[in-house]
Amino acid sequence: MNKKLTYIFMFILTFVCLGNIISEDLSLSLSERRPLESFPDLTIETVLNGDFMEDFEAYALDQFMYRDTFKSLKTYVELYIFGKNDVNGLYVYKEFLIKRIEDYRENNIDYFTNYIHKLGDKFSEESKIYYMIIPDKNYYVEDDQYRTIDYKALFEKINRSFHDYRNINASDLLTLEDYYKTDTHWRQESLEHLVLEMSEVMSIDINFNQYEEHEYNGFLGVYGMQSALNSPSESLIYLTADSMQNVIVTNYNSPNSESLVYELDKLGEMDSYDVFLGGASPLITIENKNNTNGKELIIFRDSFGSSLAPLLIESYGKITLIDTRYMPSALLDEYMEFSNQDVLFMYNTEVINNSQSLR
Amino acid sequence: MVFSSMTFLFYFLPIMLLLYYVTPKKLKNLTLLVGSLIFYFAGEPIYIGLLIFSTVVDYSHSLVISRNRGGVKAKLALISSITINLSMLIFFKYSDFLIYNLNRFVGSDFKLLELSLPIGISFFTFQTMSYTIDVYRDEAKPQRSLVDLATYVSLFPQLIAGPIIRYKTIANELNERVHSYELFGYGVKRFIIGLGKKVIMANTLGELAVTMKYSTNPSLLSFWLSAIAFALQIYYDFSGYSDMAIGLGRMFGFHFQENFNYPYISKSISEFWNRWHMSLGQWFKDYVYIPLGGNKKGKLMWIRNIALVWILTGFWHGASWNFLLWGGVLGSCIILEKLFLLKLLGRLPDLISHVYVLLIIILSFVIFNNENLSEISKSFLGMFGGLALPLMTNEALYYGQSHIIMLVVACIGATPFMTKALALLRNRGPYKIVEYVSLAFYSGLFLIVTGYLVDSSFNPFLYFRF
Repeated sequence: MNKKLTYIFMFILTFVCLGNIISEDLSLSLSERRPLESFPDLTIETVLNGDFMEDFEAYALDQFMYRDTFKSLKTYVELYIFGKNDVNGLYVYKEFLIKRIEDYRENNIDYFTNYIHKLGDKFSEESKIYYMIIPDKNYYVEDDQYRTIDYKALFEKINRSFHDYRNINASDLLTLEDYYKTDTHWRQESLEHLVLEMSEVMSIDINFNQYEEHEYNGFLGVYGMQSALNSPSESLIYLTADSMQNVIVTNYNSPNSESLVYELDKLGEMDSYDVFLGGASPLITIENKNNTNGKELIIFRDSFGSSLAPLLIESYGKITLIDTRYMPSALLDEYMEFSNQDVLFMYNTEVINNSQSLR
Repeated sequence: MVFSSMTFLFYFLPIMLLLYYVTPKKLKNLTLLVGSLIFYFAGEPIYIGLLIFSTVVDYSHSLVISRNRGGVKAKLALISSITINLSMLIFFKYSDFLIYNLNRFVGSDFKLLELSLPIGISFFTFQTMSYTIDVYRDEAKPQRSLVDLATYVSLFPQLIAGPIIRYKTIANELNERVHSYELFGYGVKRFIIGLGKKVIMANTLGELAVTMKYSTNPSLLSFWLSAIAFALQIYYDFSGYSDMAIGLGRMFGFHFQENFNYPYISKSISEFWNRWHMSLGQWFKDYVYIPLGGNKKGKLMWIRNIALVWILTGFWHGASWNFLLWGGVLGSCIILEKLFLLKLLGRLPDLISHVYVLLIIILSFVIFNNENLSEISKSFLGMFGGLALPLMTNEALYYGQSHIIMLVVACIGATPFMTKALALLRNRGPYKIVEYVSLAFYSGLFLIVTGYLVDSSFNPFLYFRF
């Protein structure tokens, strides 16, 4: 027994040691969405001040052979042997991967409502202002142990504060199945009820039947990558219509190059959800030359807005999407005019609970 | 470098083992010495000089002692050695504590030195002191070879976190030791078990303890969960590290003394401390308690001796008032036990003794785990309803439920139950099946630990600060 164990132990040590030395270093971790450490600088100074060994440990952790397989092993042990409710905050509910929200931050709700009011006050009185609170997936989980946010109190508080604005009640029009299993976002093709409600509330005309579905089958959302549970990939469907043909998209992330409503080269990259308007950006404008009604919509939004906005474009001459997590709102005057546009504030509850990220 | 790191496990250890076993017998100690110095240098580049200085001091002083046995020079050499070792320890570990409190109580304005604590200084100074004292007492022969003595002092398996190995216990093995599959395989088992205790158990329990300690929705349950999780974390952390040290020692042919013996099954605090960090307890007993007279000089002196040992034990753990308070509380419990409590407990059912020990130990670790009095009192008030908190919150329930299996496994693992069950299985079960199950268990555990390390963000080691 001891002899056999000696051989096994030495085999594992030697195999992993040599494997790590021989195998080529990777530059990126898709699952963690970050660059991996490269071999640290080896100088007398870095050795003597301890930086080299510290950096080498980070490098050894990052450039470990079968790294994702070992991470999966840990995840399975934690979930299925030790019965933990979540691993790194992620839990599985009816095949959906959901990020548990750590705590309900009531102060941030106040910050959010005050912040939105300040933005809303910039527009003229003729502006029609709407708001939509998008529940995170925890809202639809019928198991109280995972719930940290008091959603009822949150909605009531926001509704009270925004009594001057018109509410688009997304929470009643969505179900858990309208979200991706492995991602935080909703599915664009599941927004029919919500878009019809918006048509009614915002007095715009959208025909959901006009859309043609395009399917990409290799989508693994951000939770699917993080969880190390080897979740199967799922379909990502994006909707096109003739009304989207003659639009000009300007993305202030890359103002000099042509942007598209659907950036198809993002499919299969680190985050395929970036197919919708190219992903995170402080400012995007969509101009619709087909629509001459002169109506303009300003959407203050988080990433959920990227997949919703294309469905609204036929009703407006221009849509401007603003994400103030990536630009200070104080700079907005330099990029846009505040007048009598339609305005939509749309944020999901996770962003609202962490609203200090809105600048 | 810590044992539970990728650098140690998959770079240093395989290379060290390979070099050690291909080295001729005569040069094995030199190989170990060089490897150990590299091991220390990797974690503490600057202070390696301190380790070498301490070794040279005790090497030279013990030679003077042996050449002048019974004479004044021997006594002076002993005093000199102890003074140098203690000065080093006090300077690096306690100077800022002393300056801070001097400024505070006397009103002086001395600047803090803000020195970083050399890793393992509390362990290796105690080891080198024990060597010189044992030579003075003629309980150990002085080591003529500086390489061999330096190998003893710097031996990497026990260098930075013990157990505190007495020179006389491994003196023979420094010159002549056996290497075999039997020893190596046993070492592998102890090492993997220790690694599992540290990486899987202690780190997970530590995360629970920290999350509950800093909960934004505190409750009675969150305070108790934090306290219990910490008491288990520190056991698995330190006993895991001792297991790894003992296992590594065995791989290189050394037999280190055991450091833990299921302390949580104790029925008194005195018994607990005979089972917890045994090498430290033995050190204080042999070099402080007994030289002061132990229990042979009347009740008052006896109480004084226990009190002194426990204040020193507390202070050894850290330069902070909470450690002194912690030592004081435990010392007081032990004195009360010696005076009357043990007799009283003896008349009560065992369950009450166990509850008494667990309660005192959990509360004492609350003191240990909080640096200042306000945090300690807040934790106690939280645990006993003094903060008008709810009994439990959804958050505390969630974390409690999420860790319930871990907590149960940790509690069972802190008793001899598993060891006894496995021994029974080994003795009674079909040999081949038991062998293959054991091999799969140890190999699987090692791979799982690797998975935990690859995905680790929480990997502290509590006894490094000592």
